[in-house]
Amino acid sequence: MPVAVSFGVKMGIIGAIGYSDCNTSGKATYEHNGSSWSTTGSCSTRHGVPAGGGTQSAGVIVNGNNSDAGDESNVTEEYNGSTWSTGNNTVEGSAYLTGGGTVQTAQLITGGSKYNPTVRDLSMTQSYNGTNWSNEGVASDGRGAASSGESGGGGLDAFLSASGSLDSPGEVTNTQLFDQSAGSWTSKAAVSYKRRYTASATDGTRVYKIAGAEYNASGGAQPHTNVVESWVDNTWTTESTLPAVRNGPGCGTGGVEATGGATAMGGNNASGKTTTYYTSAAS
Amino acid sequence: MLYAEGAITGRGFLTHEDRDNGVDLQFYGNVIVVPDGCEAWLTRNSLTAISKAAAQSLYDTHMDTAIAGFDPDDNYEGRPEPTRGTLP
Repeated sequence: MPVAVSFGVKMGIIGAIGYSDCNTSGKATYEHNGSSWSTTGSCSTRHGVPAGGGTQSAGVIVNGNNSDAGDESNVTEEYNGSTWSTGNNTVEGSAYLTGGGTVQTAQLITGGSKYNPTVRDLSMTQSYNGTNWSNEGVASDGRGAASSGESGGGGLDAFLSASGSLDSPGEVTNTQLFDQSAGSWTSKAAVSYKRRYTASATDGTRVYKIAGAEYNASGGAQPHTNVVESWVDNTWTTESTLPAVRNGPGCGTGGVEATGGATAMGGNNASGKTTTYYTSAAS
Repeated sequence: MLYAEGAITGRGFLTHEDRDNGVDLQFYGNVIVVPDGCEAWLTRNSLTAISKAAAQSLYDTHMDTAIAGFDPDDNYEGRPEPTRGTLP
């Protein structure tokens, strides 16, 4: 039987983190002020395994599985620090996608699946300028649920997509870098550990790939991990591990972190959803 | 609660000001649900209020289609199995 998944998306800077839990069990949004969490406005639509990012006062969540509709969503919602409003819909809805962005007005999505009928490994690259979604007209390799983030201050001219999964063979080590100005995806150094449903974080230079799950071809439980890797100058480095294994600890990339930092929050362990929250400085 | 058949159409459909004014939008497949008192918001978005029973019937039909299209052997992404639900 399918395993119910429930992930959120984070946006913000350490010390002022927003976490939208628009998933199979709730539509709540939480903010972290550096020491404690508080609840703010809820989403209109469930977004299971969505993409999104931005800042705590200007966030965005997009697509994902809408369990209330039994299908993927094409809905965009924007957060202003207290409430969510509707933005324009994406060109193509998807679930288990890859993407995000450090600012609300520069988001990128690709990969994942559609249902009814099912189409895997969606390769359309869509960008958001804060008002409209556009098809960039250049295909990615279609990996869904990958780590993602911007590197080197390049915005969408240096947007990384790493690991994640394809319909076949499942999890992969592929890494691609998107350049919006050039209109291209280029292959980069492969990750050491292939995973999906990782958390993503970026400090504007490094892109972090945090924890996640390995696909189990037999359909059984997915082995979870606490491995953390970071990417800079086309090299992957292993970082300190999370204190515990986690699947989907803040799936979807977040806003820019404090320099050298990374964040993971929530996600699943073997017993189900967790509320744990981790921050780390880079090695 | 007020019920209408429709879909989220994009920017301006629900604004932050709407939220501040109590339009707590919920979206169930093909049914829009908002609290009582949101008649003006429905009108602005060209939505027509229907009875809860009619909305539930529309939603049941929508979810039955999703259930019929679900492949229980496909556990690739752990997608939740669609189930019928009760509107608030």
